[in-house]
Amino acid sequence: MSEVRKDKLLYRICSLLLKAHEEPGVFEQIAEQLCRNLQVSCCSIWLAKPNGGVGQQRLAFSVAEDNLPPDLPTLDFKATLQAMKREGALKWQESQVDMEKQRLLSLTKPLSSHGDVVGAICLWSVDGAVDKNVISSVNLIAADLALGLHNYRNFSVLNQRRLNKELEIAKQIQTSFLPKKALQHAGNTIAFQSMTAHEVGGDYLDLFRTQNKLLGIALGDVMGKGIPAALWVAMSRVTLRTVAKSGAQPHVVLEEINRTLYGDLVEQGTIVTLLYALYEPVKKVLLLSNAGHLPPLVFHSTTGQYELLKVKGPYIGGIENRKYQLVGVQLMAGDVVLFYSDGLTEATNSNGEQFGIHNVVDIVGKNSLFDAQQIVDSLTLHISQYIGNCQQEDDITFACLKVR
Amino acid sequence: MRAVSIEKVEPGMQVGRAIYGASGETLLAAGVILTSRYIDRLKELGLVALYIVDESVGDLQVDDVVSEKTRLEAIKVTKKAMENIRLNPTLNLASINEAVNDIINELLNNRDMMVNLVDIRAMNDYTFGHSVNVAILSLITAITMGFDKDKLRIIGAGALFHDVGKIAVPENILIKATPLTDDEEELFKQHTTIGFNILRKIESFSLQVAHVALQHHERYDGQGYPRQLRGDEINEFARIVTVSDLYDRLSSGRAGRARLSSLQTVELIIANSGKFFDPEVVEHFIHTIALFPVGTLVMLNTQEKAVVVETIKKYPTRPRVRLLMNSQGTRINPPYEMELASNLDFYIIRILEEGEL
Repeated sequence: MSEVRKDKLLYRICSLLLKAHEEPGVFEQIAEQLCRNLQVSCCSIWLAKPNGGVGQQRLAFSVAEDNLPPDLPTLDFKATLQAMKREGALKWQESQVDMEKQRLLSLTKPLSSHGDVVGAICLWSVDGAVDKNVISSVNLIAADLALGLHNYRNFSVLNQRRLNKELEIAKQIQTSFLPKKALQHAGNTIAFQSMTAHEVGGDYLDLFRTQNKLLGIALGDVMGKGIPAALWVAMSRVTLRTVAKSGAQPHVVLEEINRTLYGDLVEQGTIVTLLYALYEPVKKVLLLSNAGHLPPLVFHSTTGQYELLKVKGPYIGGIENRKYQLVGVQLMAGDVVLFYSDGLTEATNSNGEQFGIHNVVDIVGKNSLFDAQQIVDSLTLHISQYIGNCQQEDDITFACLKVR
Repeated sequence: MRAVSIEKVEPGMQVGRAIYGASGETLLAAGVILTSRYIDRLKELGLVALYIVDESVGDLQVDDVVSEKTRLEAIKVTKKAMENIRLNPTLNLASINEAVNDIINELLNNRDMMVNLVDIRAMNDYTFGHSVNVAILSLITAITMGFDKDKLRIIGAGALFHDVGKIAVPENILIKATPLTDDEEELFKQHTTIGFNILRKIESFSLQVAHVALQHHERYDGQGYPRQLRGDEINEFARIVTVSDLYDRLSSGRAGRARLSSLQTVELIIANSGKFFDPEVVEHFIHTIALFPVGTLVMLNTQEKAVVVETIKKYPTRPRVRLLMNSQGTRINPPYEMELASNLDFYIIRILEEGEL
């Protein structure tokens, strides 16, 4: 493709992008143009985190020929998802697909604007013969397309929710604080859920392995909402990680955190509830100290009985130089321990009724024979259905430990 | 195809899975377009739900754990045997053994398969269809528990005939929709001992088969009947049949009673583990049932709407889904598919009702 034609294509795409904020069909037209001008079999355009939310939305999917594999939309989604997660050099990649002697090539490019991945573009070719110019053309239009997506996401009348840039960054940082999710393997039986009510939350959850191979579980709640609460979440996390890394006992950790943060918290007039537990998987012992947070729930799946592990202790920022109590619990195979924030028990339905600990116990009990991830998923489903179309008012955070 | 409750079924919908009568005769073939007259007739038959073909969600592959042919054959031979069993205790049971063997062999060849289909039945077909489905569910569980073929044959026959004693219980008690009186309840409970007495006289059956019928209403905590056995005192085969019996009764639904979803039924069974049921059996049983069967419409945390296209045994709450509608309510065309098991940031937040797509 000649430079002149490339410029023409860029010009056409830019003119289309100008209309994107009021005409949703524009991206389909762009994809169509790309298919035709770059002579590829298929082109898709994706938007990352639509409506300031999670996930991605496919804005366009245009195909130029008929005999494409039926699962191409799924392959396209997978390729794009991967591209948006990590940036790499732009090159054609062969897809693993069972097609008779037909090569399937994909070219995926994440689109970044203002230092943030706003989407991706994916091109597909089935015959294997790809024009060298395609890569340079994609590079040429990428910046403009990225800017178009950025504007579409943040300023379009079609998107109901607009996000303040700083708030968006704060949200990203906070999300990165959460432990990386991983499915269960034998011996790894912890899972969690974090559903924030606003862009940034005041709930704090951390799961990590200490130097002496124990599992550290921390859950807290900062009084207040928004950015100030989020800053305290970050402070608490750093302090706790620093103190707890060595495998120090939970009451020592809380005492040290209180000592460190007390002055600043008092000055700002805020408090933090914080629960810290250490789990020793071989002896199945849970050590626990609590600075004013809700008591964890232990469900014994063999007997169907449950208990709340109540340990008294003042909030972080409550009383200076206060000693915290330590309790130890011997767990048994099949036991389920649930750590949660008040957003879970106080979630309200359309009648204004709170979910309550009894419902939590009931659902944990009804799923207690499953693994931690399944219990978390079931609890998530039930709580979401309970809230229904009501606005979720508080952050909902919980972590589940299933003893094997 | 997807299961749709009978109240939501409308003329013009296409039947996705054939409906059979008591003797295995076809009442309504797959592919038939429903008319309001058909729907009225199905309601009269006491059908609570129906599998329909839904083009708006695309192709769905829903496989039964055993073939339709094997299931129908088992229903036929069970019906025939139950009708003759009291008059003729020396009855030749070759056809029964063959039916049980066929089910076992098919299940052994499909070990990774999960129960994705609910066996929806018309009222008049209840006993035999129920018996066969309880046998299938019991056998799947027994296979995952590592039972050998001899044991599988016993549990298969025991499950098929667990309710044989009901032939001596007055019909009006069996179909009564309101709670039974004390006298009626006594009569009903006798079906366990009656069944035992019928089956123990059949020479070609192991005595254990008779014990399944006798003990399938015993409870693990000792509160059952007729003998208030508890824990390991209860026959090991009966402990399995008790679970599948209840699962089938709740999930298939009967006239006047709402059909529970797989998820609700499994949760109810876990909640009663150690009370009604042997926890070890429950642990194996729940992993054979798809919590979100293929065809279930769901909403994800991204506010996208999707349909379940494949269930994964290891991750019951994380099936493969096909994305159908984006968060703004626009159709995703063509739809694409996602494995929730490998995309943990995505999860199901709601099961959608019919008409919410």
